Amino acid sequence: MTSNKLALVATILCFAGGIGAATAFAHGGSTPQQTTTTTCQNDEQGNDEQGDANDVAAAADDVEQEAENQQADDQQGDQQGPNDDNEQGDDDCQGDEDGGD
Amino acid sequence: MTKTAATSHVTRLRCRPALRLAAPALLVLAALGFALPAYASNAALKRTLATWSNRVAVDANRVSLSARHRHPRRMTTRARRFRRDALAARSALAARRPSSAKGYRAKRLALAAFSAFAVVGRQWVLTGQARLHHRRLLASRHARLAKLWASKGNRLLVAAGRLLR
Repeated sequence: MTSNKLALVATILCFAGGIGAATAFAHGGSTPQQTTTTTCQNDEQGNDEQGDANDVAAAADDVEQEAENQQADDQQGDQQGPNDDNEQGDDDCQGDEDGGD
Repeated sequence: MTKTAATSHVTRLRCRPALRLAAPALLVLAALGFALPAYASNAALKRTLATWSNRVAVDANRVSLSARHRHPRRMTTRARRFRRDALAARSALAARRPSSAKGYRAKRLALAAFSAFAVVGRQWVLTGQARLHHRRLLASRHARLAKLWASKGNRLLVAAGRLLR
């Protein structure tokens, strides 16, 4: 009788432990997403693929628009410095604001 | 004979509580053992996709900025980087092993998306070069092609992300 009760208690504890572990992993899985969003503040913290796709679409629009633009290029501003080859400071998204352009 | 039977009966009685304790614990551990690798694998794929799509989007922003400022040389450099990152994303995703059929479908879509983005990068490079050589018609043709591939890649990327949600 005592062993039956003990087994019941052990079973309940095991299930509780299992649920706890599953919850912990579920939270653990969502954390890296949050850290990746903080790497680039300019990306509206939207790490979803829709936002990224919109960025690529907007870039494609801009390039097309400029390719058809008859206005002359800004040759002075387009002079490549040493930073253009190794593109320093790219990972901190500073290029999105001024881009050195 | 009687003594042996009695001994085995006593041993069984002694083992029973231990078995009763161990069985549920083993069951739960086994269930977790099956569930966790599956979770970890799809989660890793999702993380990889999120990281690289974000990076490619940042590259695209830079290309866009250079284009708006009419800096074709810079745009070409940044387009090369966009392409390089798209190809790196492909390699990173190819290394992931999804655990479910849905995960495999998402992986296939994501690989196709980044292949399309690599083509976009190539077309942007060609646009910049044509622009540098003052070949406007050629530049706009490459830019149009880039736009077509970009919309294709975007559709695939969004579909892949939706499958992993």
